[in-house]
This record gives sequence, C-alpha cells and structure tokens, in this order.
Amino acid sequence: MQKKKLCSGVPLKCFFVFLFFASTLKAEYQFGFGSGSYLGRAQVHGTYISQDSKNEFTAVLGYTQDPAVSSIKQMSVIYLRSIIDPVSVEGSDFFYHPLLLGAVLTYTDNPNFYVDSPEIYPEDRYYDVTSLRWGLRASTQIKSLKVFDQHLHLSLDGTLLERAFIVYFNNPDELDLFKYFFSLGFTIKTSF
Amino acid sequence: MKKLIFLIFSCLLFFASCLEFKDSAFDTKTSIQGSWNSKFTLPSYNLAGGDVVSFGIFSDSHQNYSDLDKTITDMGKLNIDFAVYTGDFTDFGSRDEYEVFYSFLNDATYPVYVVPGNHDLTTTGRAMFKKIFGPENFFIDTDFGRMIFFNNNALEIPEGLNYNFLNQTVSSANAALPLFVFQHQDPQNSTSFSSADQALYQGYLNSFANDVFLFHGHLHSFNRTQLGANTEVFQVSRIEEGRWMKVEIDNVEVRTYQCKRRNCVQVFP
Repeated sequence: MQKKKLCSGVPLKCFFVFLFFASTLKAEYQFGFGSGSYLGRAQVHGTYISQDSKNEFTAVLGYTQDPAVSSIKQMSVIYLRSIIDPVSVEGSDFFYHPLLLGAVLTYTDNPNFYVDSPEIYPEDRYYDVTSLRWGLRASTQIKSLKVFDQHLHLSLDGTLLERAFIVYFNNPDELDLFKYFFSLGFTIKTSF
Repeated sequence: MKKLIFLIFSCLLFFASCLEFKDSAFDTKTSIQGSWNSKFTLPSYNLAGGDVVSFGIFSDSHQNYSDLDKTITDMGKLNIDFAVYTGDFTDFGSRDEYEVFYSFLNDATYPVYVVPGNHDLTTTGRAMFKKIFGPENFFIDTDFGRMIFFNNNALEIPEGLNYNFLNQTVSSANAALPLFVFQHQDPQNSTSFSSADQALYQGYLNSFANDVFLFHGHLHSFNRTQLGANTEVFQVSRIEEGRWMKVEIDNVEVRTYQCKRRNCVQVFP
C-alpha cells in the first residue's frame, strides 16, 4: 500500500486537463463555486454540458479547513444525467431541471489516508485504507437566472456516500442510518 | 411560470434545511461533543455487604449495527451496571462511522466505556476518537478494583505504546483488590508486538500482587488463556449473533460468562 497519488500530487493539473479536453467538445461550459455535499467547504467547479443538455460532467477542486487532521484538499468528478425533462419559460432562456441523478468520485491526498509504513502489516492490503470515496448524487437546478447581465445557474445537491450501501446490505433493518452518510450542498455557476 | 419554479425551488431549499450540510467526505467535523469516557460516575459498591457488580464486554461490531443494537438492549435487560466496548466499531475510522456508533451508544441506559480498535485508528480515526471519547488511555478506581483502559494498537500508534502509563497505573493500584485491563489487541499477538514488548507487558501485569483480568477483542472469537501466574486473559468474541461477555464480582470471586443474546454460560472459574 505505497503512497500513490492519482495526479502526481497536483490535482490542479488534472482540473485544467479536464477543462482542456472538455473545451474541445461542442456544448455548454460552466464555471462556478460551491460548498458542501462532501466535496469540500470551498469548491471550484468546471462543468461540461452535452449538446442535448441531458448529461453533465463536472470537475471540482475542494478545500476544507480541519485543524484536527490538517487541511483537506479534494479533487472530485461528478456525472449527472437529467432524469425529468426541464421546464422552460417561453421566450426566455430560463430552465428548471427538477431532477438530475448521477455519481460522484472524490479523492484526497491528505496524509491521514495513507499508511506510512505498509511493510509492518502482515499483508499488503491489511486495511482497505482509501483516499477515494464515491457516492450517488441528486441535484435540482435553476439555469440562466439573469443577474447584472450574467447568466447564473443555481443548484441544490445531495450526495449519499458508498458506506450507506454497505450498511444497508449488512443491516437491512437500519435504513434510518442513511442520514449519517448524506450531505447537502449547493453550487452557483455561470456559463462561459 | 418563473414564479412557480422559484416557489418550488424555495420549498426544496426549506425542506433541505432539515438535512445536514457536511463539508467533506474526509474531515473530522462532528457536532458530537467529546469526553464520552469521562462523563460517567459509577456508584459505590459494598461488596462485603452483599452487593454484586455486573458488567458487560462487547467488541468488534464494525458495521454490524443490527447486532450492536440488539446487544446493547440485551445487556440492559440483564441489568448490568455498565459495559466496556473493546474496540473496532468502524471499518475505516471515518467520521460517519463514528457518528453511527455514537448514536447507538447514546441509546444505552447504562455507562459504556470505549477503547479504540485498530480499525478505529485508521485514516482520521485517531483524531475522531480523541474528539468524541477523550483520552486513549485512562483508568477508573472503583470499589471492586482498578479498571485500566489501554490503547495497545501498536501498528497504528507511530510514537509507540504508552507503556509508562501502563506501568504507573498498575504499580499504583490498590493490591487488595483485583485489576481489570481492557484493550483491543491480544498482548501476545506477534504481528503487533515483538517478543521484548510482550515480555515487558507481561512483566508489568505479573508484578501486580493480586489477580489481573484482561479483556481484549480483535480476533473475533472467544478464547481464554493465562499470562503468567496472576493474569487471566479473555478474548471477547465479535458481536455477531449478539455475542458478548458478562463479568460478575462479589465479595468472594470474579465470575465471567460467555453470552449469546441473553443466554449466559459461565466460563470462569
């Protein structure tokens, strides 16, 4: 279990590589900020939306101040698909997307998630220590809210982390435990 | 239409405000206020006057919350005075797992003391344990003897075990009464402890002039061994199917039982 970093220790590079490839595709791009939903207290979002407005791919950089374990930097990717057709206002570019569903994958390079001396353990994967977590995400979005000539997009997101499913399979009678693995968040983005 | 959409969105925001807003999947931010282990005060016992102390020991629930729930209820129905959890209530030491375990402990109608297991100290677990439960090593003096709670997860403590704490708390205990030690790891586990460490540990316990009763978890099955002349070692089974141990102390002896739900069978003496 050697220390491995997904992006050679520079999540920012991955973020821009994602934006570069996304920008080569014809569709809509959004940039913005967010908070919560397990992806960091302060988040920067870059989003690619497919031409049919059905699919969203987002890269997120997140930062959380946590003195107990030093600050936490996260890099995440989100895929969302519009499940219910958007409601539009005739004669404007105002849309409401009632429900998008998808998945989120988040990663941190915080040293607490790596074993300093893996050789002292009896086997290579003694712990499934993971700096990578995933979850299911639901989102509801208002798109193109015009404020001072800027088109803003608001979204309210909820993420359910993977351990909720493990808990469900181990304890099918304890569904109320899902609340411990769920978090809300929001984002504000603008098109570019 | 625009107004209707805003109304719907506002309603969603309103209802969403009932749910929690958590920053990160990796942080230790919890609303639970700490020092759980020091919030209990055990009553006085008059063993010579006929009082019998009864306590439970349970261990290694990991994410088996159904059996954890049942066991906490079962122990309460058998009117134990308090309980000790000997570690591994999580798989990854994460904030969410700590909060779930805490929610079950909070339902207990009796004091529950908690020592950490190796899984509970991985990732951000060590910081979480200190935040919620308080110090990793502590002791309580009672009318039936000293109880020592010792974090002996050697592989998860980079600075090494606090043998000074163990030595001092053993040597300063009242030798007219027995000693009870609670920890997660088997002290003779060669994966975690070198032969020198094993000998050092055994030396401390064997230096005590009265009986020592040591309870640990980790290996998920019941076992009973001896460590030198004065120390009985009990390996507590994992909680699956409602397994736990009960200890009764009166003026004459210390009795231990292996329990499954509310059925207990005496295993010592």
